[in-house]
Amino acid sequence: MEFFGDFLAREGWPPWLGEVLGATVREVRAAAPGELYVRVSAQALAVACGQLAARLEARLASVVALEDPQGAGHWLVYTFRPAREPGWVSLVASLPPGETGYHAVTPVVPAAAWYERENRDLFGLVPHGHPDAAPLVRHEHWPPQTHPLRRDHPREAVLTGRDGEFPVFRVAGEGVQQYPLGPVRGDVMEAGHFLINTAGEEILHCVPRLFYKHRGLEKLAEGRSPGDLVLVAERLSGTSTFAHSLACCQALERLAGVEAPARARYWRVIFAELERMYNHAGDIAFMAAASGLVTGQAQMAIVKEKILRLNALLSGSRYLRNLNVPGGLRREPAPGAVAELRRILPDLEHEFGGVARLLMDTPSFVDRLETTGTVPADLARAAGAVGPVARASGLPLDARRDTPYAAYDALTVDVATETEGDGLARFRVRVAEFARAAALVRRALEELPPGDVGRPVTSFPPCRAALGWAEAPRGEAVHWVMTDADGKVYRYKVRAPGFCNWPVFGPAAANGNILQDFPPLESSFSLSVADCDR
Amino acid sequence: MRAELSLTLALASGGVGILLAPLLPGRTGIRVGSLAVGVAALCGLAAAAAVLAGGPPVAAALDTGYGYGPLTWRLDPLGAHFAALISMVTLGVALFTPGYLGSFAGRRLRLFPALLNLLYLGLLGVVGASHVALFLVAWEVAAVCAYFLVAFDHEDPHVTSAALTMLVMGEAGSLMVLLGMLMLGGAAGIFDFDGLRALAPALPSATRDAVFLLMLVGFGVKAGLVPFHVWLPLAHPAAPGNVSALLSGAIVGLGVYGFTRTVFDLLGASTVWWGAVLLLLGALGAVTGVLYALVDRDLKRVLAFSTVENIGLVFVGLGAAVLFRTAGLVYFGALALLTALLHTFNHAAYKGLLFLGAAAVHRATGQKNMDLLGGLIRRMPHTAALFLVGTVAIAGLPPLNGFVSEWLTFQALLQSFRFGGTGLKLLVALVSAVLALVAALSVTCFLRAFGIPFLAQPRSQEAAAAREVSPGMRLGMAWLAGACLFLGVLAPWFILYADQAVTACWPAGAAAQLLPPVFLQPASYAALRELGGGLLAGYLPVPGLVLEPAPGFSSASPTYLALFIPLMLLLPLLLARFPGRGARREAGPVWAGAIPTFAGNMQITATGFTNSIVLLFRSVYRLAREVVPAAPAAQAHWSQRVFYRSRITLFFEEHVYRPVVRRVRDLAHRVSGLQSGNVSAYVAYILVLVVLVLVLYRV
Amino acid sequence: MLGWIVRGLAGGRVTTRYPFAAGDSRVSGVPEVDRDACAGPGSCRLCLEVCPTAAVGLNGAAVPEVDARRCILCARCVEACPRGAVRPVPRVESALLRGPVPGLFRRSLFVRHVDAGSCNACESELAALTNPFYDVSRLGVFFVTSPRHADLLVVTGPVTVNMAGALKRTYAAMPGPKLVMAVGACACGGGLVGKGYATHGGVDRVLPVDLYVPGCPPPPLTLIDALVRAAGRAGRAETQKEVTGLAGRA
Repeated sequence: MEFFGDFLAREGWPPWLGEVLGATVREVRAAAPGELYVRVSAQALAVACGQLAARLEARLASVVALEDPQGAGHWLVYTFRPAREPGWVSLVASLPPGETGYHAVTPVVPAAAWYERENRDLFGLVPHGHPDAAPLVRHEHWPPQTHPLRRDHPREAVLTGRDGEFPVFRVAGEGVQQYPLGPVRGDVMEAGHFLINTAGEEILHCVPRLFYKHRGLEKLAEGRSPGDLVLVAERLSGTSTFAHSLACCQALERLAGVEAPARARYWRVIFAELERMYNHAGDIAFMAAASGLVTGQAQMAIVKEKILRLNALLSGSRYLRNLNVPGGLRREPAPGAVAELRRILPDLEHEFGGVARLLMDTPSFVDRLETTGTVPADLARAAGAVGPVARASGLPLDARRDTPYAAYDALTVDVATETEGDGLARFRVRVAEFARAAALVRRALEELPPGDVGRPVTSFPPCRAALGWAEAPRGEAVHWVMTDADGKVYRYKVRAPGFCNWPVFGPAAANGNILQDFPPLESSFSLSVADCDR
Repeated sequence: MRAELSLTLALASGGVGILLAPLLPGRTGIRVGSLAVGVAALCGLAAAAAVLAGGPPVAAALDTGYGYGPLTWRLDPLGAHFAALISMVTLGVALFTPGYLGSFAGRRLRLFPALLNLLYLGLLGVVGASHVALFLVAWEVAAVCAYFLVAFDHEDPHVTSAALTMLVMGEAGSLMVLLGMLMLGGAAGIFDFDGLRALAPALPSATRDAVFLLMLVGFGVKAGLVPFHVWLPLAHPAAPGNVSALLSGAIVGLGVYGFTRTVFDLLGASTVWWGAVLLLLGALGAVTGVLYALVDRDLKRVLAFSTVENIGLVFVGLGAAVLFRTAGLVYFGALALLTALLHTFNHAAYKGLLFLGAAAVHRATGQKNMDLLGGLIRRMPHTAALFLVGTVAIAGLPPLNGFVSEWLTFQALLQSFRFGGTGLKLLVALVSAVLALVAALSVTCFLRAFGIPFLAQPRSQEAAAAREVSPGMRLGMAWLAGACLFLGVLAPWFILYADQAVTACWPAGAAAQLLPPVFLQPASYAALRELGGGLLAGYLPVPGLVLEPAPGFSSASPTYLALFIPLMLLLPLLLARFPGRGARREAGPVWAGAIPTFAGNMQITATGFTNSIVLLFRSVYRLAREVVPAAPAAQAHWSQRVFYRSRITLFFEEHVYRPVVRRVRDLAHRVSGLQSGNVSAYVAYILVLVVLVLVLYRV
Repeated sequence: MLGWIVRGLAGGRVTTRYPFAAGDSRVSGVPEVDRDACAGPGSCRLCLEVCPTAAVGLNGAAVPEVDARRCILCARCVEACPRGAVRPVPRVESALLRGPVPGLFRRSLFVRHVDAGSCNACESELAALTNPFYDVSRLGVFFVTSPRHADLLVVTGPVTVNMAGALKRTYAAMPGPKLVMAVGACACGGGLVGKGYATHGGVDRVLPVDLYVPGCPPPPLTLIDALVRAAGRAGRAETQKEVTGLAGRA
């Protein structure tokens, strides 16, 4: 367990650890500041997770499965973010070689559902007692008994071949139609399949079937140098490039024990907020399009395009690629570009605000979103939802405020929440966040500290692990990197915001909506499939 | 002379069918019996046509010596109209039956053709009966034959209970009719229709009103008028397909005939509130029928409810006729009455066709549930085409017969502005609005009834394995489809004959004004000629081919529409036939978002098609729906089992009949206490009764 | 309602005149090697070694060449070159045509897009084509939802194994004549992901490709140029580039 950090003696344990977990704790290791790895036995894992979730109101943030570097079986790492204690607590259990089953955590912590299904498909680790036997990543044509993330599965072996039966969920009852939507659908949309059981108009049940876009990025990262990892992180989701690259760089910086200079951290805030702004503008344009309000879509698309052009001016890339490196930024934007940013920012705020106000005054738009796809707060909490989806249901989760990174400790973030949890609430959250993001950019520009923007880190310690996180426009993204003995990447795990939010989509769609509500519903969620599927 | 010969032949043929067919084994018996009833129907049709064409009325009389007068039977134009209707449907059924009954082989088939023949003769007897006793005897013969035919599949308890319901309600109706006729002429000892006709004006209005109500209930049951219709949706699906066609075509028509004969002919309908009651009940029936037709999954029950709807339309026409007459607008009254009679005839044609089509579908797939059918147009192309003709007709699309009678109904109702009082105008306007809604909903209903079973892909194995039915069955359907076509395209010609039926019970006919003689007097109808009214002059024995309900108000010609609609379709069809150079045709699988296999269950279902309407009218349907498990969180897992249930309640059955039946049962239960089985008690009853009689009659 | 009208009119016209006027790429482009400044592969192979997608190759030439279809614009070769011989060249018209296209689509081109595993940046750029700045409908290009109506199939992503079947079915559902356009480094040559357990490594391993549009992601003006040329109209002629002999690569 050495790669999880340094051994922490009992005196160094946080006060709640003994109370909450008691005798089940076998060993505790501390890695980078704020990361605690608590080893428990595989039998006690589920119970321990339940205790953490209940006693500390901890939210399940990520689950990593990996093969032991020395070949001694598998490790399961369940990372939690307690509500009232600082930092991240990971419960770690080891499965001996040959042992592929363990007690599922899902019955105790429902948010673990998709993680355990994914680990079953990719590693072959079977969670006994998991309520859902259906595969998540594996599609019907994969050869049987293939677990791609195992070390013995070669990266180049393309999984094709046999024909399988396309899975169809059927609601039992007279006259129910299984309406297939996707994976090729819409004008320009991401690939995903939604099997909607409908009684004609009413949606009775909806199951999103994803992982059509599974590219195997986590395996791609294995064996590469940590410097190249940023390239992988940037391509998780093009529209959250900066947030993912930021989370990855921060993980690598924590791994190397290096902190980016202050100026770089402020610039990171500026770029992250610019990304948030253009994403929210784009999502709202999508919402307007879904209601048929093409002029609203066009006006919002103008705002998005202006920000994309601003990005290109500042960094040479419309999506802020090739900007983050472990240790800071690659280069600083030219002064002319910065002046343009200062000049254009109030115009952007004004334009966005005007369009948003017009949208709120358009009944045909508001009616489509009101009470559509309501996510009750308890469902959001149980599923571990993050981002605007969670905030619209009343959960005040924001990684910028809860676990500050970059310059967010100095620039306090005002978290926007709503309570209804319907499409309109998600719209209002995004409108509020745009204005607050623009305000953050302005403050960061004013308070920009002097200095350089960083020196890229070139060497990374071997056999270490670290977490990195960022609040992407769609929610909290958590990256976990572990190096091997040569300092190359051994295991790279990305938990994108979509992975927590997609499980909520199906129940929200079946919550008293009709088929015509589906486009506004999907647009109000605006979840990314690319980073969920990886 | 010709008509008499035809009728004699019909009688003979029917007799052969009744007597000979049961003696022959299995399939031969069916064939012979069907042939017999077919010949009888053909002869009956010829006779009816002869009478309607203006030939001498056919009459016969039988002196029983009982003292009620000779039992006269006379086929006058009104009766001939309905005789033609009944014969048309029976001929179609006769062609259909041999192929259809083939699979029921080995069961109680012997009596079926005999019953069919007896039923036909009974029906003929009713429409010509000119004496109360003959009328009622023939009526009962028809009712009993219908009962046995409906209960053919008697191993199924649903079938027997449905048939029993039909019989009991029918008998209750017959009782009302008997009472009514006795009230009419019993006091004076007159039982002859001619005599009753002469007697009626002199009766006090209370008697006339009472007779009207009794006839309304009595014949309303048979016709399927709301609220007496509850047997219809039970009996039609339960009966074998060919019998359902007869029920909806002929027997329902019988109810309309009886009502028209007694109220319009004998009583001389001219009281305002009669018209208002007919109008309201008709509108209520139309709405009820179409709303319940929209939500049912059983194809035959959809057609049964549609019959309720159409009968509602007929009674709206009858009510409008009464109202027009009392307002002094005799021509418009005649128009409305003509429309009602036309609609009954047209309905018999297309509903008979649709029921035969449904029976063919049931034969080919074994399924009545529309949610399990689909794709039959490729497997049963002829049946599909014929069913389509029926669907287009019932939806009221030109140039078929449904369009003619529906258009005329609306035209008649739109004339309400000619009424004096605001009350009547409002009433008719309200009813018109309701009927417009009904028309739209009925188009939806039949889009669904044709689209779901026939189009797209099969939703079950049985539907995929369907094969086209036998030529005889197709011939029966083709005959009725041809009738729909004839009654639509040559409606002006048919109207000339149907008008004879109107003149038989109304002060004046409608055809003279409805069908302006554009061909014979071209000068007077210049406006119509400009619109093209002069086409085809001289090819048909009609004074004109344009229908003009009110001068200058509106006009239409189904004949010309029948010419121009295909012409308009010709150009796009030609363009489609000859595509541009380099274009090829390719066939591929259904595109459904690139999923590997598109299955039948991924298509819209019959339930789904009208789901939005059900939700809209959910309080009328008293919709109860639930999804189990309901909580959003509980549905998150792929392995979860989820159930969906939805239920509607039939209003009249649940809120009118069931409480009454329950009370009657309770009462009967209490009264049954008298049947204690105790001999002493019975002796005591006799003693009490004797004492009572002695006291009362002071012997 | 009035508010929208007023706002729309007050906003004026923002649509670019491209391709009827020159366009500005605004993003950094695929690097090109300056023959004169390069020392040659004999003395320095830094750019060849540093490229994460093996886009910089020799191909028998005197100096290394950057295969635009594989380049992900990470600019490591630019940073690595000690002589500054490798420089990014912003270029709008970077689409590569495989051969002549039918003239049938000259007046209107209907496009069906399939996402075969892209990161969503290419989709965002494709979606930007319908915003008021670019507005491809003025050029007769329309996005359709059914492949039965489509002339051109636009594919983004390296074609994941889970999407390959859907992609082939979409192609089969299009009536001929039809074209295929691979948009983005992933679709053109596999990009950073390349061939792996879950990816085929480029659209041309699954379907016959007629146009390659390199970039990561290619900006909207490049996409407009590619669409115009797919429609069979002349692009901005001075920079047109036709690539022949595009055989399958290892």
